[in-house]
Amino acid sequence: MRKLSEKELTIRFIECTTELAIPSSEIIINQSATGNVISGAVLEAAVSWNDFYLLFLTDDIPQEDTLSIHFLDKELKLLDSATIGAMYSTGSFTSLQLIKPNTLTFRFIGDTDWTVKLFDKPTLTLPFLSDPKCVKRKLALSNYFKVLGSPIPEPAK
Amino acid sequence: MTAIVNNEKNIFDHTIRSLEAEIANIGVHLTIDPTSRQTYARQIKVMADKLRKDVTSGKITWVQAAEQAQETRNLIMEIIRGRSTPVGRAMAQQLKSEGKTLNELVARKTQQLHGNNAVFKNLSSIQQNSVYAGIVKSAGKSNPRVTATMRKLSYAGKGLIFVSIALSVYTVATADDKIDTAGRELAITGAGISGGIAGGAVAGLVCGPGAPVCVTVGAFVGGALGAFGIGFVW
Repeated sequence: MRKLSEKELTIRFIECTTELAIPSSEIIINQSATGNVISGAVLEAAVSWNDFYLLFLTDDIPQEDTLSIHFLDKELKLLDSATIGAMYSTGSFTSLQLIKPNTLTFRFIGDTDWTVKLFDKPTLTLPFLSDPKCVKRKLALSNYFKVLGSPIPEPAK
Repeated sequence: MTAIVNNEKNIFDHTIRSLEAEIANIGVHLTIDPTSRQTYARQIKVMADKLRKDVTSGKITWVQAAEQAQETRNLIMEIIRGRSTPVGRAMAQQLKSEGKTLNELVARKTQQLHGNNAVFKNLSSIQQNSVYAGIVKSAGKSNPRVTATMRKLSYAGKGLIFVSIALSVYTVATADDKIDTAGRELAITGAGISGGIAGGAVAGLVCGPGAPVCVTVGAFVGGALGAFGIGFVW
């Protein structure tokens, strides 16, 4: 598991055509455009693990940012995705740590250390129940990664 | 025996009316929060556009515009949260925000526009202004994922309000005493909606901030109790 440099993997933001369009970007590998488009506007980190890539992107909406986590194979086929975020809330992606063999931790939102555990094949999960609150992903019975965290709500004012 | 049957029929009728009022309660909840969201999206865009105009007309600098964008957007967000229903507010408070300071935003935007190794203080003044301009532009954007979801909920909310009105119109049209029935429909629906808002607010106090499931249950129970209670009093 290793963090990739900007030269190895980066993105090119695709200008949104409408206000409701989800920000998206093209993946650039070794300074060559690939034509593969994923959601997100700012590449926070790119990690290579076995024959897969794990990409962390935010939307460049500083006061209401969402973190997208994308799991792709070496052919850049999107195998799994999740987002972390909530309405009128924001976070900063920091403190990424790679823990061998298959774990990453980082900070983003909810005053918690978020953990991502990677699997090299789809692993059984329970939709809606397996993820912490405000982690959204497509309805599926299996996933390539699991998101863990104990986010806390905003304190009472 | 007849009295018992009548009493049971009364309870059944009140329960059905309460359920009808719940449709309006849910519909209103699903309409208020998306409307607040639209106001938020509109206001922050207006704010960013105005700041850009102020800079181009020489009233303020790009640095001041970026600072004001930060402050004003936070203020707008607080106002809109205040206008949301207890359920909407609980949804918004689910995660403790870890906001970015202006210095952080400057550093991030510098890297985004001028590469990972760029340092803000080494940029030319034109490049520095482009960084501040980028911050102002970003401050004018609302998250499209949230806005799109809220728009869909708004359609659902309007649909439920339509169903609720249609049911009330049918009830009044088929009643013997139309004026009394119209008054009762209005009172029960109103009590269902206000009971829902009050129930959500009470649940929010009991469960604490950021507990949308608890607040939603509170809003539902409050709406049912309000409608059921008024139905009995009427």
